[in-house]
Amino acid sequence: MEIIAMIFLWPFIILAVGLVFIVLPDIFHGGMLSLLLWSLVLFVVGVFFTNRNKTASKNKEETKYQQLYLLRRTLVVFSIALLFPVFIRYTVDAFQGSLSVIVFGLIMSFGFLIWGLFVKRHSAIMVSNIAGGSIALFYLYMQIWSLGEGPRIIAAGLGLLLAVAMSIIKLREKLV
Amino acid sequence: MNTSTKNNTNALKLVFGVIIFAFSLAFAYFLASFTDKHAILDYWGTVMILAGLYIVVGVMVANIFPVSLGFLFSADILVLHALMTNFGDLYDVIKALFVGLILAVLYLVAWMWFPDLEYKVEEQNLSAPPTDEAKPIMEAPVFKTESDQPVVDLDLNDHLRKIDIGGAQKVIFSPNGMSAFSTSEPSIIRIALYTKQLYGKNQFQPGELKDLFVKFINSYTPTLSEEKVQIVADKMKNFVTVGGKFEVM
Repeated sequence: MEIIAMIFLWPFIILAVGLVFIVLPDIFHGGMLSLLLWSLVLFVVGVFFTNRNKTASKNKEETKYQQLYLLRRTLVVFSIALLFPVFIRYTVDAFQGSLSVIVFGLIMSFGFLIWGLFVKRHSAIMVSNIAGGSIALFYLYMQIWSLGEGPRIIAAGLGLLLAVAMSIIKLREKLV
Repeated sequence: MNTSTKNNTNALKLVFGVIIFAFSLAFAYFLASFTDKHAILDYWGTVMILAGLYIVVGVMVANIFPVSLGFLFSADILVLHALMTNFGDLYDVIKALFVGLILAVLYLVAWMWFPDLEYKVEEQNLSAPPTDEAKPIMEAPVFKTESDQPVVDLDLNDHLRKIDIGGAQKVIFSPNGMSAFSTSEPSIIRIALYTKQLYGKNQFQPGELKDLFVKFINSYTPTLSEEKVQIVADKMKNFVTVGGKFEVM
């Protein structure tokens, strides 16, 4: 069963990565936003490959199998990290940028970000959720900016509240 | 099967896979042009129908790897080409649903297939008694003994199963000059205890354990898939190569 699933893994990963490149212009468009988001993506990819190189140099005996495993893992992380914000964007667009959908997107993005911060034993999901959630939040806050002062204050307040709550939980965990 | 025969078979598989991939693509595009030209069906409609058909065929013949992969990669190209041309024209709801579906499968893949390696090893049950179908999966010994003959000990599995791990929770391996890794897998703990019992120590020079490693490669009967066994074997091979110490805790 596992071997059969492995056969479908490569075609599916290629489909997902291909889809990322097809939808990329939909999220990365327009001057400053584009520049900032591209920088973020390059930063995430850079960090990922730096870590990978460090691991590789530590382990000279790394087999071809492990390299393939890492490649597949990297591609999955890359796809999730970029498809998540695209999904949020399409959902917001599908409802003509309605405030309730933006709030839903915010909750979802924060949810995924928090899941990424606290998930154990799945660093692939951790990296992809943190990167994807951050890009999605960035996009949503840009949308909120155009809705006026009230939503801006509420969104900033929500972000602050969650950041403080997460910091307390994380710090407490480390102090014990 | 010797190495040369194996290489020839692999080359043959690759050739057939590429042929199926190329001809299925050509067939799809030629048929799509034909149906479009004669107003039988829309060009992209035909392409998508054939992509769906290729996926179904690819799944159905999953036990013939080259055929299956040829059709599946071909379907990939057709779907991506259709999306690249038409994705902008789709409704946002459909785009969101499609991306959401791919995202859901990606999460499933990430969760099931890409947990952290050391935990992946931990979660597997190597200690289950071997079944009749279970056969040693690691074919070729990574190290050779001086006589170039594998050491076979048929009682090894039985002996290992009888080792009582008591209150041992995990074993930490610290290879020289490399990061430490740990596992709470009972069968690995048993192997560590067996090694300690056999040598009377838990610290080893580079290559010191190679004969024992060969013995395990040839005689230990894992019940895991080749992929998972390979992860364990790779980590152990590194440990044996560079030497180091382990601690059962």
